[in-house]
Amino acid sequence: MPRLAMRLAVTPSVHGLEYVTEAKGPFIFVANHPSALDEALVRDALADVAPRLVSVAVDPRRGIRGLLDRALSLRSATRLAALLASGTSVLLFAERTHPDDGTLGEFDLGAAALGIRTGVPIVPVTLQGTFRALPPWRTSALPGRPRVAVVFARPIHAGRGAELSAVTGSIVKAITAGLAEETLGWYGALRSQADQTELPREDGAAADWRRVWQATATPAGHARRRVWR
Amino acid sequence: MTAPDTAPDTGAAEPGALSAFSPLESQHIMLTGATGFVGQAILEKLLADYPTTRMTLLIRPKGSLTGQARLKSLLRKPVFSKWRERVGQEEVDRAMTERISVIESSMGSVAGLPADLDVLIHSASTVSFDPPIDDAFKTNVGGAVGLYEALLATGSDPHVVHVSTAYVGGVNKGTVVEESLKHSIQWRDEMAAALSARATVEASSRRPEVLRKLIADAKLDNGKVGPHAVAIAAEVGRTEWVTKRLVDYGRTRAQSVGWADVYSFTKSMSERVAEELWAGNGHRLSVVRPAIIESALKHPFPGWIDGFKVADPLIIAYGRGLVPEFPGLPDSILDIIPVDIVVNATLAVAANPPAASDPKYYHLSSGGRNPLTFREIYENVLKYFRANPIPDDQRGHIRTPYWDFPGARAIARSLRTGERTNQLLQRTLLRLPSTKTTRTFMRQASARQTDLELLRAYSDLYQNYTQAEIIYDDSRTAALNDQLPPSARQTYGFDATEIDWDDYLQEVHFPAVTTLMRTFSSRPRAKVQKEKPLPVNPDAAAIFDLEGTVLASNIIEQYLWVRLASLDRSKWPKELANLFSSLPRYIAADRRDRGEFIRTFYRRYEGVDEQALRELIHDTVGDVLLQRIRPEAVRQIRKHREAGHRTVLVTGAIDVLVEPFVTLFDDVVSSHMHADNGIWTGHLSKPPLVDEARAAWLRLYAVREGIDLAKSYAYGDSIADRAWLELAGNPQAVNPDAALFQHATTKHWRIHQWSDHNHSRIETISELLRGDTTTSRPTESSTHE
Amino acid sequence: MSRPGFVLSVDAQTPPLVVFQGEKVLLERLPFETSVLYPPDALPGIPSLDAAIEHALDAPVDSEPLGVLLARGSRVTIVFEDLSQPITSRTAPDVRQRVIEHVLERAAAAGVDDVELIAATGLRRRLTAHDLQRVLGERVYASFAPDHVRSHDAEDEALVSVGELADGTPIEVNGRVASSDLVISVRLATAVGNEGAAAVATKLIGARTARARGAFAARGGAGTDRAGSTARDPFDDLVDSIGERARVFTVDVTLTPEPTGPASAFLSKREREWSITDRALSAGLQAATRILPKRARVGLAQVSGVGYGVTSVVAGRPSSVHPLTEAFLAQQQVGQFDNPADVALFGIPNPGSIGSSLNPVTAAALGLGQIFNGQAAEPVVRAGGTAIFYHPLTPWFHPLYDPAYIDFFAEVLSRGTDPAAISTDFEEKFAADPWYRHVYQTSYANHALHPFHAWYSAAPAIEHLGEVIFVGGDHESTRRLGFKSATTLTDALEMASDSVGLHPSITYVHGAPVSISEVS
Repeated sequence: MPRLAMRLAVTPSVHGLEYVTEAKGPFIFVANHPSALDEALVRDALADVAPRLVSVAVDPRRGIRGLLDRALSLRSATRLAALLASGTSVLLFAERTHPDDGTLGEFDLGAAALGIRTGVPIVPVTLQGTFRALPPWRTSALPGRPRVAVVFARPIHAGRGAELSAVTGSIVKAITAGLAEETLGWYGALRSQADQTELPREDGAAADWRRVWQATATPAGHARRRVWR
Repeated sequence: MTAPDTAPDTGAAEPGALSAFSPLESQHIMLTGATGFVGQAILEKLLADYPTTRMTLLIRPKGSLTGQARLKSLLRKPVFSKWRERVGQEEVDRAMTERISVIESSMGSVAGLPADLDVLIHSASTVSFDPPIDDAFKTNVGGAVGLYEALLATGSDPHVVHVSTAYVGGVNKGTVVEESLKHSIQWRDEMAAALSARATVEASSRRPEVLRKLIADAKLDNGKVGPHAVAIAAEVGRTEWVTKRLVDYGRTRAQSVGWADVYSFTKSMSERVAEELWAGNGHRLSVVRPAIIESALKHPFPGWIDGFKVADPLIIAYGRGLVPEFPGLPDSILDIIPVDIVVNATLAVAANPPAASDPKYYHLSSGGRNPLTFREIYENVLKYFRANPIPDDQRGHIRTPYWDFPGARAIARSLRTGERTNQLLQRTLLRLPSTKTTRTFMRQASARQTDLELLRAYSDLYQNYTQAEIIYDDSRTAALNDQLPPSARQTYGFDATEIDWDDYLQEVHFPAVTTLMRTFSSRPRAKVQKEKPLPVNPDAAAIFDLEGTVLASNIIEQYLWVRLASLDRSKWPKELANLFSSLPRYIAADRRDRGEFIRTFYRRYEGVDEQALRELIHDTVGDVLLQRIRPEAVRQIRKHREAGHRTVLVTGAIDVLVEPFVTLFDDVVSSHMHADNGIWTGHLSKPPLVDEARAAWLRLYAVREGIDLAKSYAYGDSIADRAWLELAGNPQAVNPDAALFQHATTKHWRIHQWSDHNHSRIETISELLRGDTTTSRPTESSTHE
Repeated sequence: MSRPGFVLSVDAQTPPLVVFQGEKVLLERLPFETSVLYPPDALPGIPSLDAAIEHALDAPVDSEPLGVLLARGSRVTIVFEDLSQPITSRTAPDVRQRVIEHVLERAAAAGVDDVELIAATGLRRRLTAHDLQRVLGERVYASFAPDHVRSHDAEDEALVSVGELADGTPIEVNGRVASSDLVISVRLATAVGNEGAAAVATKLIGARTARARGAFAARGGAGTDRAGSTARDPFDDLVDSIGERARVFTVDVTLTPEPTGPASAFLSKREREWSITDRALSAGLQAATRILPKRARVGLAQVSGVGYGVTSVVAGRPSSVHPLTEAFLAQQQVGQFDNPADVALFGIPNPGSIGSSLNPVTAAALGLGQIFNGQAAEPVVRAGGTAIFYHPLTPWFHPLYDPAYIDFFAEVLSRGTDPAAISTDFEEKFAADPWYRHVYQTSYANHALHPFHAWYSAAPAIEHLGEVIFVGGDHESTRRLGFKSATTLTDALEMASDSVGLHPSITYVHGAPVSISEVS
């Protein structure tokens, strides 16, 4: 049901799924989490690849689902490792903080740790445009089925002995590049990352409104050309 | 005057008998109407079997042809072929100069008749049964008056044989005897009334009530062509109205005094003229009244006929399966008489003058003694066409229908229903947009129209003949035939009882008529020729219309593609609903005037950013438009270019939308939208070049550019293009709409059937849907500068 | 190892066999003792394409790894196959996209900014934005569109001369390619002869060069096997480098048809091995093709079409890679068969990637092309024998792609089908026509020379054969192409009996759908 509702609300596109289909599961998907649409989007994209998928966010969920999570002890690394061992993939929303403009927050090291512990490939997942489509202050998505994208990066194989911060770094790097695609284009994002250019980042509280403004601005592409004024 | 050395050669059958029997010996005979069916036959008979006679022919000059020239071409006709074969061309030439003299004159004013005439045979008359009343009187009555007055003026006393028709008997039942007609109608009064009728009708045709209706009718058919065409059509309509009125005057007057039609009415009036002016002045007069004259029984050869006569179109129409039923009484007598019997009888009458002031009357008919019923004819026709069916175009043979003789009323009813349905169908088709299907329907409807008109004409025409319960007594004619020596009957006899109808119809008449038909109908087929290359001419131009001609699309469709391509899909239903709900309005506007439609419709382009539109057309919509181009059109344009013609595109479409096709043409003239700061206001900057405005533009363009319009080509698809298409020497209709199709057919314009691309509009829409993503552009801050 | 191809002789137990006929799939009972040539079973596809591509790029044949060749600031052009090679999947990314993404990731890492992507169209039509997106994927397309991804333009003004043909005509190639430091060529091949010449430059030449190269007179005598010609090809100099500057690095991918879904899997199985389900599906397909209108049947054929799996990825120096690819593909040919038969039967399907029916000229050229460049190494039909094809030859032309074909069919073929006469009478006129050039450059039309080259390519086969018969061929258009049409196979064999007798030996080349081969 949430998937159907999501499809009616937004126009999703999926990139890089072939990286996942060709490798052997299960996987640890690590994604950014800018909006409430995210889980449904990823589940929809992975419907054929990883039909069994458990999702866990860093913030504990509230209400019945939170109780359910607790009952299944989904928040315990051991439990997740067991699930992975049984072939169930795990989707982790690993941001420790949620900035109010939908940009990337600080990442929890748990995801990388789980990868290193189990040897299961980690797939960084970037959710593009979901903040704009359904910002936290709205109860329903923007009208006109805004475009959103789920971008899978190449799986990261973190074997035993890999350094926790390095693995987390490459996850963050992949997701950052995925987010940069929105403004720089795919190749542009690759290039700027290769050149180590810092992605432009406004800082300081003074620019808060501007960051929100920017994050929700209609993207330049994808619109039909306007002929009638 | 005698030709002693040719005399033995002539009567090939019984030369001995001829020398004993020689009527009209060395006489001078004048003949009117010599170019007509009976006239030709009489002339031939005189030339062939009356070697000592001299002839004077009264021939009307026709156009640039003098009377003498017409005689010359007359002598080349098939009727003289047997004679020519027998005596040789030199004898024909000799006879033409020595035995025949020509007086050029029309029937109305006859001058300088020879004074030494022995016999005058007056066989000239109008051929039409339903002419306007004044024409009928002028020819049939006025002609006789002029002739007899001129004859009186010469002071001579020839024997006049006045050829009339059996149908002067009028609407009657029972037997009609050979005597002067009994009625009290005054021909002078009737003549005067008939001649003044035209003035009256002309005057009343100019009444505003009449003219208003004519203008309305003209607008209906020509409104889209333009105001000028409407005016012309209205005037043509008025002339037609006058003629129709005068025909009605004639027929109604004839019926009110007891004749079936104005033809027999005026013929009976002209009998009165002959009686009064000639017999009344103490001269000798005979009146012969033939019935329906058909092909020759024996002479000059069996089956000779000159074009279709009264009954023949019906026979042919029947053979072609066009006459499903026919009004007529199966037991009524169709009084047919072969032309050679008429000729022999007429000449026998001419050789046996009555006493002065005591005119004699002769019926040349078969009904009295050898009747042929309508049922017998029908059975013969059926038998003949079942045995010799007319081939249908590549579809075997036409099967002739059986007749049931349901009676006149039932047929009239079904005919009327058929006419009404067809008219309704055509009216509807004219209003529908032009597609392959509607064009096929239109073609069928117009073929049906022709059939129905034919049927209507036949049924009106033959009703009098086929329902006649009248018998023409011909005892006097029979007595005259009995006077002939038995040896001369072979050559000079005219006994109607001799005719074996079955044999005559099966072996003589029907073969003659169907041969004639085949020669007629094979003509148009010969016209289908291989396409010739276009003549090279640097002064010629080829002018093309865009929508519907070069492009299988219209301005509404163009708008739709542009509009949809620039709208989000979510807004499509609203736009489509809006467009469809306004369609009736546009269609109504288009019916009134092309220009009005274009102006109304182009208001939709209000607010368009011209630069954005250009880009859109360059990127996506241009290809959608290109898909609609007709390959035959491209090939035709290329052919014109190869022939050195200047190719010109003239269209009411907006210049920006025409852009993808510009390279095809040397010159493009299109509409331009008025823009304010690059944003269209929805108004045109100049009036659109449509219908007569385009014609005016083309005239001016031709003068300025030195183009020879008479050698130029114009391609258009709708009746609105008629005005400018007509300007070019070679107008061509491309997938024409119903109205232009009609016009092109009657004017023998070339009609092209170019293919509509089978690229469906659904596919176009799906391509536009894909365009959803393809128009997306990369974000501004792409790594590439 | 997959099963090799084999030859089946039709007997009473043989079920009706699948025969493609345009958008239809027929089940035909063939005459007894007909030899049916089955191609070998498809090789298994590579499971992890990513790994294969990475390996090919990082350990190329006779070349440094790609990452080394790419240098900061260098000018790189990626040349990829257009739709003459099939889109490999309807749902997953195309192989070209997969390869190009890897290439671009390395280029990005190396700091290359000046990248351009060019479709090697030869004289074929430009790719539409939609085509490009299907081939390259949305992300690559969006990164470079609209200015840095385009199709080769044979009429472009900025062509560069890099050599000379035997007759002295300059070899003009795409200017961007010739001015690049590195040209990365991504090539696909499905069958032998399908991979084209060793030099990618043949698909990037100007119209003038193409005209001289493809001229009928330059094609060698009819009947000679083109592979056997010994004359030195001037393009041999352009295999490893184009001009003085551009070095070529090639990535050759070989493909094998594989069914995309259960609905069409039976089509590539051998009929004897059909399960009950396969039979039911086949019956359903038969019924559907019978009742559906033509337009819908085209769509059906696309759905029931096959996808392609990748069997090998080899990268490196073109002159070293090309023979490897050829040898690899040769494994998939039918190896041995008896003497060439009197009569050969072929089915011609509509390739799914074209998205619409084939026009009759292309269909005929495609069918006749199989005589010499088929699944077998040698012609399966003897000289003077009869070839019977299954194709409707509907006179349908794509309004955008085929304007030159429309006129070629209507104006040229209606006057005669002799290629020599056609080439002298019409080629110049078509080549110089401004309208064709206009729609080729601005719209999506095939080049005006394209129909000529297609027709010339069929000439050796026509010469070789005594008679060409199309079963189910539209009467009018088959006649115009100079062939004969028959309604059924029996009729066709009856018609052929004049030249091959009443008991000819017959070979049916049982093929999975072929793709449009390089016709220009």
